[in-house]
Amino acid sequence: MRILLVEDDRMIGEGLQKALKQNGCAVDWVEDGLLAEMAFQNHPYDIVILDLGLPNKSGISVLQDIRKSNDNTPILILTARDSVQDKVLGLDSGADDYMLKPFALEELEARIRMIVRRRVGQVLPIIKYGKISLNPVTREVLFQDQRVVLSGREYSLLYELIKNPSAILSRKQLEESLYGWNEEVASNAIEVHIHQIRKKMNVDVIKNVRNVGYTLQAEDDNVQ
Amino acid sequence: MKSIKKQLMLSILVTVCLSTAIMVGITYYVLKEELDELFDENMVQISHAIAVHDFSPDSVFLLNDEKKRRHLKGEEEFLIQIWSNKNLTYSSLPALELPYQGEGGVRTIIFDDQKWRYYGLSKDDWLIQVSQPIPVRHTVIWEIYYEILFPMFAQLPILLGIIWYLVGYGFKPLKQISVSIKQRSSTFLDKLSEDNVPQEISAIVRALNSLLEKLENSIKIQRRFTADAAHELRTPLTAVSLQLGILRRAKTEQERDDAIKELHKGVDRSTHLVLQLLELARQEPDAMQTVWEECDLQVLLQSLVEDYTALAQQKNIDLKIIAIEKAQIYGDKNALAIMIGNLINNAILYTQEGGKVYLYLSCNPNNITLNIADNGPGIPEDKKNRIFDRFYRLAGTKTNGSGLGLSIVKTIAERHGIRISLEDGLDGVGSTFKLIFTS
Repeated sequence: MRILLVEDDRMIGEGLQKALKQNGCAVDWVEDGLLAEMAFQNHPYDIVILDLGLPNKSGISVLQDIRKSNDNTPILILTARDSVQDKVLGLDSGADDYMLKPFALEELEARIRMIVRRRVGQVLPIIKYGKISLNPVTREVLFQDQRVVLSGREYSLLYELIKNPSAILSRKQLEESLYGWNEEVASNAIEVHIHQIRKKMNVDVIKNVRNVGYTLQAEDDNVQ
Repeated sequence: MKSIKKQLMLSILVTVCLSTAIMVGITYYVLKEELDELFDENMVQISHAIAVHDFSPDSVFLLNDEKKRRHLKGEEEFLIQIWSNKNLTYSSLPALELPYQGEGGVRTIIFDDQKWRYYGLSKDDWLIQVSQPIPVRHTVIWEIYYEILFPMFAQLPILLGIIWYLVGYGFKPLKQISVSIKQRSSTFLDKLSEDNVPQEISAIVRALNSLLEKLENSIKIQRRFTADAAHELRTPLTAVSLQLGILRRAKTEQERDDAIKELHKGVDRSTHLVLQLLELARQEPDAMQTVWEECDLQVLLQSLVEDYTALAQQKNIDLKIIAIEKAQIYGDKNALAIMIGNLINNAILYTQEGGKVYLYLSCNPNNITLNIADNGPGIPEDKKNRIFDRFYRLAGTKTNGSGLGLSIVKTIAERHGIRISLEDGLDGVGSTFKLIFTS
């Protein structure tokens, strides 16, 4: 999952980036409104965490401009502004959620999960596909009802695939959702992760579509 | 408590009573004069009426049969005596033996221990004497007088009642204004209506309105400040709580150490902000009594440079006094140290490693000038007027700060009448804060 974090306070920005990365998310962090827009135009994001008081361009304008361009990427406002007017303006401008600072890290993560879950049309917190079942809260993965221990990146990769099981994701797409800007990506990183997952589950769980990318084995396909 | 209404009523009461008393006095005097004149004229008329008759030496006058009566019936009666060659030939009241007085205009005589008014008219050998005792006259004066006095005193309570009501009515606008002032509170400071306000209190209302306006403004500033401060306090607290969250889920020793280090920074930052807020509150005008004294700026500047040398060395910044002169200024020494210290601190914090911070203190007869110059990144032209605003920080500033340092500087400078201007810094870059102390 790739997250755009727009936060002008260095301490909070650094801390959040660190905490979210530990969950296996790719986090791009920008410190002002204009940079946020530039970043947003260059990459697709699963969610944007947006502060309101930003230099150069206010968070509300950034939000409004994104919605004006008919983009419905989930946006979570994370701000110290606690007035009802600010909340109403934020939500009416198209934010998916509005959270106040200071916040508990767990709550922020839960809200991010909720927003993403809703966006892919899921109500149940546990995602099931074929013989795989994935719990985003506990990050627990079951394969044929057996617990499988995955690393952070492996989990994220599987999560990307299971979120939208019918899509075929290219290696580039997977890289982008797993790695932030400044992270060094080995050329075969995705292959290595996929290899690990296959090893821990079954070779057939992830299908390789030649020259296109990867997708999960369809439910009715025969898995040995 | 003093009441204008009561005082007014009292003075009106005294005035009305006094004027009534004077009126009563004057009425008595005028009445007496007029009646005296009237009765005197009557006496003259009567004597002339009698004199019209022919008198002969043997004329016979019927003596009145009321021989015993010694008192006149009332003001309508006069004692009439007719003398012939000084012999009394007729008396309306023989019992009253008023002696022969001789001819003469109306005058006062004493008879029977009483004052009498007397008029004598002579015709040939005859003398007609008409007289009347003054007390009898005065009885009638008093009678008339009482009749006039009664309504005079009777009107007093009615008059005072009406005045009481009218004064109350006149004070109504004042009462209305006091009611509407009572309605005002810290949350409701609307101006009082200046329509239909009597001329006498319109000045008060206007003064009050301008006071209300000032009050509302200062409350607004205070509220905004409190709101800003609450908002600004959230940010470092967010950082702290975030680091706590990270610390809690840290798995390795390294992660834990890092989180604790960051947590420390967050706590330091909150502390710094709170201290700055306190400092700002302390430097507000009339916040508290401070000691003003003669301060030696030269000594102050030298000790500040010593204090900040360590910080400058950490960043390898060349901090030094380039020019210094003896300079005395009257002011709050602690506040001045905080002001100059903040500026030096800012210069060090925002100037890149290996930069320069130079200080110049010059003194001439008119003013003292202190320049704090650096060769740091400088301040963009369009932001120069905003940097003294509370909580304002230049976009993209990497250094942590509360955004209050320059507000504190500004507050202290204003209190001391110090002018601050921003000029170009060293080597054509950076900025110079120029402080001009005018005496």
